[in-house]
Amino acid sequence: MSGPREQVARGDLAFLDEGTLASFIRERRWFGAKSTEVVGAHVLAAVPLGSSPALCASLVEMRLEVGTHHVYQVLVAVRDAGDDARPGDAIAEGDGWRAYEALDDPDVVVEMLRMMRGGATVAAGEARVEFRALPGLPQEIAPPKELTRVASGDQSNSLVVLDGELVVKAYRRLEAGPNPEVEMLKFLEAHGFRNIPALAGWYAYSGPPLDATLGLAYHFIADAEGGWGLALQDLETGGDFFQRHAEYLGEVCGQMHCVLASDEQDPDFAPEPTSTETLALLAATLDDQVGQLFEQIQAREDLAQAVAPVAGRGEEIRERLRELSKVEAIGRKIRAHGDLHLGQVLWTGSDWVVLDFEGEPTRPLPERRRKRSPLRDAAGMLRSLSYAAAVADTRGIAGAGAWEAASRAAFREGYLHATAATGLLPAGRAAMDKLLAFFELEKAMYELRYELGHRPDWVPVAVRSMERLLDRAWEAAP
Amino acid sequence: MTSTRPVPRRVRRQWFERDPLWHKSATFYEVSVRSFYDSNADGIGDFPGLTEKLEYLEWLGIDCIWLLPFYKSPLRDGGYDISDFYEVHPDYGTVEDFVAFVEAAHSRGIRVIADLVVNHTSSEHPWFREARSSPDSPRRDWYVWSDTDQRYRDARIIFIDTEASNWTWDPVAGAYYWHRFFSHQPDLNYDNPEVQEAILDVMRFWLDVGLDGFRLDAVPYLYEREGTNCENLVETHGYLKRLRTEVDRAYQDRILLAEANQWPADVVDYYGEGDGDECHMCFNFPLMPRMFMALRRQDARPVLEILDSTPDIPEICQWGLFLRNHDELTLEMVTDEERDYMWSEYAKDPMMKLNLGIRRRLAPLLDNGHDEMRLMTAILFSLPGSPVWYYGDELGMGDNVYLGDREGVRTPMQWTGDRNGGFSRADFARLAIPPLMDPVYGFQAVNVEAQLRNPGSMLRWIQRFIALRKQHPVFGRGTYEPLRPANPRIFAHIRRLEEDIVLCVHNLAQSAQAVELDLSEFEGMVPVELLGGAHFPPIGTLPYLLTPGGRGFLWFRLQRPQ
Repeated sequence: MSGPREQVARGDLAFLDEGTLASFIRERRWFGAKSTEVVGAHVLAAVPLGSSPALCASLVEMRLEVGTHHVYQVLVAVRDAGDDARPGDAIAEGDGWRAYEALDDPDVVVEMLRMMRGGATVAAGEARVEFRALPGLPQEIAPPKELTRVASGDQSNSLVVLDGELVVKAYRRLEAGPNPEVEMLKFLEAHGFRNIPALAGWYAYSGPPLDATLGLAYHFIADAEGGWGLALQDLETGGDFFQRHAEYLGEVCGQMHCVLASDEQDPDFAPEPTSTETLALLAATLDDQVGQLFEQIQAREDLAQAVAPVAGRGEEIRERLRELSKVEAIGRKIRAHGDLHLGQVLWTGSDWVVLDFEGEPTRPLPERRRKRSPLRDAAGMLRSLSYAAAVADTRGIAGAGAWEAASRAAFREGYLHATAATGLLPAGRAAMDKLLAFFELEKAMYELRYELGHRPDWVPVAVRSMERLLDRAWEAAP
Repeated sequence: MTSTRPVPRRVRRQWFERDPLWHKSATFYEVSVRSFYDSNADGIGDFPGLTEKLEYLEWLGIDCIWLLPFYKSPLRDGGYDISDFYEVHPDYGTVEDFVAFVEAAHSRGIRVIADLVVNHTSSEHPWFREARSSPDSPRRDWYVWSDTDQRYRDARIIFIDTEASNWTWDPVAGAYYWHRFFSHQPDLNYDNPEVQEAILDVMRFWLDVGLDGFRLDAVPYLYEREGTNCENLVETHGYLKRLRTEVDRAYQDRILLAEANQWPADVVDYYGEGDGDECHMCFNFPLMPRMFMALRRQDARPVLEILDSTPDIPEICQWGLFLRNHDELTLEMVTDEERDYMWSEYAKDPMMKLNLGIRRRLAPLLDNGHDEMRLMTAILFSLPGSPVWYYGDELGMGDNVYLGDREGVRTPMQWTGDRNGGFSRADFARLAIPPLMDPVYGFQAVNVEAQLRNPGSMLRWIQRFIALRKQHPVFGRGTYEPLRPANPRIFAHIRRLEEDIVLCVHNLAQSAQAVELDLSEFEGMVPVELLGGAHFPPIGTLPYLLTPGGRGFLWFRLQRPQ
């Protein structure tokens, strides 16, 4: 007799029928094609990782109606139905057994950390899962007293925290190639950048149909506060936290860029000159996006009032993008954070820590690894400060404008101080202001599009923020 | 069974999802390294230059680059005269530069295939030098020798403008040697097992480095047999099966693309037997002249007819579709009357003719008509197959018929309106091929920089169009079901992949047309226009009426009622 427990321990998921799997994945918050109809699901690979509980790492293909597909990582475990422990979301239940997504199961997470510790490589046919430890991983992995699932900012991965010490993160949607996060954290750590969480280990899959990073473990930053929350608190209470600490935040971001640009020998990180097309190509893409975005705005009758302040300003944005993209000097392109904003930084009480090096999770992986002007990161943070101010503004809090101007100026000063004389940035203040304004406009469009698609309640904030950006002549930055 | 040469360095990492059918939904881009971008100001394009411009190709949405031959060569035939299969031509860089290029392309999600000339070598190849040196040379039998020039008389001459015979007397060897192309390109003797092995070794070498496949140049001519036309021989197919067996054995997801300029019924033999055991892709040569013919006659029938006579191909195989390439627009696979028609319509100046073709680029062939370029692109992208785009045609670049042979369609890519069109920082006099400078097609009028700034430009349009096609795998993998409306000026068809159904309607006439389509099979469904997303009236029981504008087209996704 062999039930699902034995089958999972062998890496056989045939007992899960397609429909069950498809509806399980469709309901997950990390499923990235919610607006598309799912035609079916199919297990592409399943590598057995343990037997108590029975566990395997699987790659599941979700076939979408238009003939495309996504690949997701699902950690499938099976326990007896009578087992006292009933962790995780159930995938399927049967006679005497329960199959579930296992990242919430402390026994499973401990087992995975131990496999990292031991540098295990598990093979099943052509497929392999490799676990690797980095110096930050404790020698002994004790079962945690507490395991908490954390809702992460973006929805493409799952995070659990063990006893407020270690974080284990699993990437859900998989694409071929190494995930930038492990790559970036390793590089930054190896080159002496300290304002990041200490990496403890990672695990990766290779085999059909793709090679991909599956997840990583890093140290939890205890007792830290998120930058976004701090900004809102500052605005609401009329505090001066950012007046005091935004300059240092700018310095940390600038130092991060200097470190990322410091290795000419590593082809994945060596800075590159910006070609003449770089900005023109981006401007062309953005130009098309403005068109689409404003068509989308027109179509949203439910939000007509909210979008009214910017609804007719599409051509103005296009014109400004064209103008701003005419820059003589652009500086150098480097690997950068890619999605830098206040939600990605923590204040520990004495220092800033930068998190989440995945890049914008909705973009294809090759694009997230692309070298770009570091000013795009800086613009992301400036935009985030303005966004916080726009939130306050829409809530009728006074003084948002002054807070915005002061914290932006402080961030900018710190950033420029840290990157001065590195050759990373374009020479001359005019070129830099133009570039920053260009990238801010890109971000503002991204914000509006995101809110329209995901958080209609926030559309007024994005609109307010874009309006303020448009009304401020770029020459007068910050 | 490994290469006889040490592999320099292999491309690192696996950047692609494994997919034996990747070529079925890819957009290819044919590029001449020589003419794309010069990174070291010597007047000649090179691999580091091409690497720099990958950003542009990624933006454009290209899935696979096809490189013209980049091997060591005296360059008397654009590099199709190879003098060392294992070396990169020094003009273009080193093998190391090549590896760096492939690696950079892969990390941007772009695959790379390259031309491989298997039929012949340059007369300067050491193999040929040895072969001609003495009848006793161990390499003598690597080429095809004869005491007379009267053998294989049924084989046609391909380069009729240059060559009088397929045999040329070699005074050093004291014998005639066989060549299907230029006399400086002696054919290899595939009856010799050593030759068969040597070419297999070459293929392994570049696949080991990391290339994603080959475009096999001139494949129909590998063997010669008396009493035949020496094309498409069973022995030739036998050797291609050997190449394929080797690819399948050791190289996942790599493809062989055959250049077999033949009639459809003969071309499909290059896919092999059963599920396809020779090439993964073949170019559809007969289709392309008929598209131009249909446009000029304002009549869809030439395209419909050639597609009707094109046999089905195995599931894993795909047609390579193109409007133009680096050669002349060949008119070998048309009737004599059709050829006369094409010459009179598209090559009014005799300078424009070459061999049995027309040496012009897309834009000049279409009198620089933007509606025509878009319509032809739409038809190309709508057909079953993978489009192969020729560099520069996305800008509507022109040609220079006063340059020799086919150099006129291989002029430098026009990046900017600055000196040398932004192609090179070298002095103008040093450029290998001068850029176009005429007022209509010259780099000051037609260049990437200017078109990027203009939302209505050909370049911006093509980029959006490639992105659109990519969103719908049905174009690469779906069925082709022609509709045959009474109005012959309309080319309309259905593409279908499982639940994804697309309707493509193209108006070949210069004026607006009305067309009634029998869509009764799709009654109740709603056509949603693909470029703009507009909902059209639902399909009813009556014929569906559409009124495309002159040289216009409409693509729809047929959506089930909500």
